[in-house]
Amino acid sequence: MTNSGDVTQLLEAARSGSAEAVNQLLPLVYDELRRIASDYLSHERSDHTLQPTALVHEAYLRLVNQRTAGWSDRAQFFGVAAKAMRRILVDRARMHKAEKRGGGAVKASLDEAVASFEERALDLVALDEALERLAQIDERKARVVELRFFGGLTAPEAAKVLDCPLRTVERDWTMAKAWLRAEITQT
Amino acid sequence: MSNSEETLRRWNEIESLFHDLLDQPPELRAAFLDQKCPDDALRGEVERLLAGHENAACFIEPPAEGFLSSDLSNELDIPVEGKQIGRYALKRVIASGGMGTVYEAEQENPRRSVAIKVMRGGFASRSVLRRFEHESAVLAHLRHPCIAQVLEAGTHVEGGERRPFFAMEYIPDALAITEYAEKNKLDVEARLRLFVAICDAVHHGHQRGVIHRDLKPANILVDGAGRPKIIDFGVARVLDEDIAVTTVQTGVGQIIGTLTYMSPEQCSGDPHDVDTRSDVYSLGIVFYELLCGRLPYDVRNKAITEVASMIQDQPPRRLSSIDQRLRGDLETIALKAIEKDRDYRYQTAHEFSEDIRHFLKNEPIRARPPSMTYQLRMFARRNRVLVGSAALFVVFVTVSAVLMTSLYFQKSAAMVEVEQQRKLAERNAEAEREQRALAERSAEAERSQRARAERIMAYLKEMLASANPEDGDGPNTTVREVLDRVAPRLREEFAGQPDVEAEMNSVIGNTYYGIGLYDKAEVHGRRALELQASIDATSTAYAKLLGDLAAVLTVRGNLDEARRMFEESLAIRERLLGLDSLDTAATLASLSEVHRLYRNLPTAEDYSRRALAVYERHPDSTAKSRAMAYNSLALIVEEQGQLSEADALYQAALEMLAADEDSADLNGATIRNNFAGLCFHRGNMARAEALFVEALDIYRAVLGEEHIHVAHALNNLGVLYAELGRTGDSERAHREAHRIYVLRLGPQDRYAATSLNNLGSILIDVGRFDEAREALLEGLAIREAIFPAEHPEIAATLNNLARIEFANGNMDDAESIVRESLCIYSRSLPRHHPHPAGSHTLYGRILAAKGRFDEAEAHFREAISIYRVLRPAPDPRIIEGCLRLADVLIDEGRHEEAEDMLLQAYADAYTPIPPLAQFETAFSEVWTRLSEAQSVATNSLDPP
Repeated sequence: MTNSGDVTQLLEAARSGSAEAVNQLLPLVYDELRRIASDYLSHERSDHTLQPTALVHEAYLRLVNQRTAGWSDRAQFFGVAAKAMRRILVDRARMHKAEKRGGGAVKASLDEAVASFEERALDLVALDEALERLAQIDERKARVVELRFFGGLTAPEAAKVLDCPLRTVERDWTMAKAWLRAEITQT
Repeated sequence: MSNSEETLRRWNEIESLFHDLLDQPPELRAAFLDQKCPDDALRGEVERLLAGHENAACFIEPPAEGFLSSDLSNELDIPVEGKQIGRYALKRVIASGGMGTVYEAEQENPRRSVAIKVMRGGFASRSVLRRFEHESAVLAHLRHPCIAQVLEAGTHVEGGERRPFFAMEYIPDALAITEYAEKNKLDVEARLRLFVAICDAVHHGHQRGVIHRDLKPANILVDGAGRPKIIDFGVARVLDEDIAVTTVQTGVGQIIGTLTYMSPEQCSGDPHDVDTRSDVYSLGIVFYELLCGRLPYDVRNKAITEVASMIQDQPPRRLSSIDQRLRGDLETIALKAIEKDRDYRYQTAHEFSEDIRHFLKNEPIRARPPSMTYQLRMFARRNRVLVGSAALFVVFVTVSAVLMTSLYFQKSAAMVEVEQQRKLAERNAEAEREQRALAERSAEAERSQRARAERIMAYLKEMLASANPEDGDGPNTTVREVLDRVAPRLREEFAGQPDVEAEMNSVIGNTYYGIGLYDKAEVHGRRALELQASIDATSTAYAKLLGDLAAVLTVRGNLDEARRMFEESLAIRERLLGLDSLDTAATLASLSEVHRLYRNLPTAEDYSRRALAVYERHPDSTAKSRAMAYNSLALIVEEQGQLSEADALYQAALEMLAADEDSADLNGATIRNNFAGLCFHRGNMARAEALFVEALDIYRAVLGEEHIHVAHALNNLGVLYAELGRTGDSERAHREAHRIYVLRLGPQDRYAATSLNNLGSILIDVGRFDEAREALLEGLAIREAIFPAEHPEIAATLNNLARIEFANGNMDDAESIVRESLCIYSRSLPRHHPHPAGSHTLYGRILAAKGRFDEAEAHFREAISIYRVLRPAPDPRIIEGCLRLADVLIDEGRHEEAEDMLLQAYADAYTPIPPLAQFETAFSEVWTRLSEAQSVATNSLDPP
């Protein structure tokens, strides 16, 4: 397991503005998320569908030393984890699509997670692409969606990560959802 | 450019229109758009967003407030009348949670009501189903009147999906145990009886290898007839409902609700590292809540992670702080059940319920067992344990590196030589540089500068040539001989060249400082400073000389002058070198040390952190300097009672040094010495000894056998051995330390007095009172000669003398001596200082021995309150004070107060991890006295 000291230190560095630290965190968190997901595939653990946000929270519990981490560290962590989770899910969804075409779908917990999005008629790949376009127009709104949807943060938490008023996050969220919905329906 | 600006402007316009539009009631929106959007394209955009918004309800909501809960509410809304699961006809939804839904259903044959728990769709994969079948077979064998029986486990196909379900015994009119107790206004005894039945049921499950994993009031029900029933026993395992997974899926409020009952081991690390003792913990929390209606941790308005860390780190609120009537046994029982370390908990639910039964029968509980072996050991060690305050009057020499970073300190004679040659080479180079720089200046100036450089070189060569490491009997001797030979000649040798003489005095003063001859170091330091002041009193050179001299003065105890000099030096360095230079940091660190010695700890900490910040930022700072900065900060936070932080700082400092190969030298010894002191205070004697010995070895190897730092380390080892009862070793160490101090510093030295005091203390411990008195009186004479009449160290020796009289039973003499020491303390130290607190404890014991219990009580209370101010964390001294106070209260017949005091001390001793276990014996002794006294009191009330 990754040393929680490393992560906590990196979070500290990230909090004091080191972009380098954020770049180092992302792969750590990404790996841990994938590792947790694969744990659930082993026979010791049940492999019912995981909520992606549950994975993110579990990664937090595992990676961050909660005795020393403060609130800002937590916000910072979820900011990074949201990015990692988005990447993982979207990659999975892409693979899923490819496998469907190939016909040899292998069931895995993350695939089930992806499938549960599909059941709700949510195309993660399309969402990802739309988010990219949104980021071109309005970076912050895309970040709000990333944090809330992929990172499982509440609006006040997202406000903390983005360091902007709660009201702004709420308005961004409403607008971004509407825009993405319209965008995805269209395509 | 303008294109993207245009896009942005348009985007902002759309956004603000969109939000304004949403603020309109739906029926007015079209009119609003007509009015605000003459532009068709714009209107199109906004309408598209509105359509998106109306479709977005179930789109990308995050789980805490979004799709999960809306799914569940959908399920709750579905009418279930007439639906069938297996052979059960559903009647209504009882509850719905993250994992599924619980229904009340009707079974045909036998005709009865059952509760059906159906897992939510999407959870079940083939392997889950397999395990589900296996585990549910185990659960079906769990039969206990207080466990809701699992009647059947199966799968149910719905919408093409297999969903596992449990059919369980239905509990009519069930209430959570806490609600039931409140509603029926149960008294404490009734609550306890209910709880005992629950413990027994949990124990039954444990014996069959099933851990509940999710015990909380919502799972501990009481039916209409008052019978307790535990539901969902083992179900968590089957469904893998562990914290990290499911709780997160069920929304924050529910997580916290569940988390509060989870043991520290469930909250941290691997949720699978759970055993039956985790259930004992959860039962303990329910027990606590059942008794006082509150939880031991205030979780209101806390984030999940905060709650998790509270459970892992914070001591629980005391039951008696919520309800005074619950102090005593029930509080002790609750504390034991919710111990953070499971090894200290009740090991089984059965042990837990047994203790409650003891309480109900008015029998002694086991939570603090006065076992026979303890009793025997305790009697054997009685004196030692209760004479524990000896350590209060001995002095531990901690070493801050700050004042020793001077050039020569870290070198043996050979190393000094190497250093000198290096310095010589530097001088050479410098002289050449000067020559070149001066080429254009006047011939006269050139000659004089060259002459200066040459004189210095010649002189240094002469010094080195006369130093022969083969002569003499120790590494320092040769250097000392050289210094003694050249030092007196400086003034005539360099007459009329104040700059050269200043430099030479500085070199020689620092060398004396390095080999521990501080009086001579001071003489040369002052001369150097005086000469430099006549040249330029605002230069960095002057700042350096100020700092060097101040370091000497600090070691010699002249703190006021040292502080002023450091401050002046700091001002110069800040002005000339800036706030971020390493030199400035060194001065900050020195000032920190002076304030630490003054015991202005917050100021010391402030300076120390400022210094550390520079060292951590500065590109040229070495691992060694950072490590020493950590060491200094550690000393300060340690003295402020933040022991864990100090511990971490020392460890980090040692790791830094270990990583830096060149630094395994005196710095390592210094850190080890101080770290050992901390380990000692925290009761980790083995570690402390190892570290002291390592430090001693390093000092001996680098400095020779007879350096004062060797003596410091020996002194400290002596204190440690005394604490361990190794009196012979302790005596030897103190005697050797004393010999070195006398050799190096002369007989009239403060450290010599320290070792005499410490030697006296150990001799008291072994009952050699005459020798002890002799050593103490000798030490006292020194202290009286070199310190002002009311110096605290004089009082410390008086305390030890009082101990002799106390031990000899001369209580009147003991009393008058200790009064004198208290009198000195009252004039020389602040009220809140550990030394007077030690006197109060001793005085209390003398008074108690004289039967003046009320006065004794006052002094014990004063001691405790002083320690409480000084040490924020539970502290051995406080516990000792509480124990002694409890003892007096027993004598006074105030048994309840004594018990209260003991419980408080017990909580203090056992809340920290690891607990302050050294008081175990003393606890059982006082408990035994108390229970004997109580039973005597009871018997005398009840006629036979």
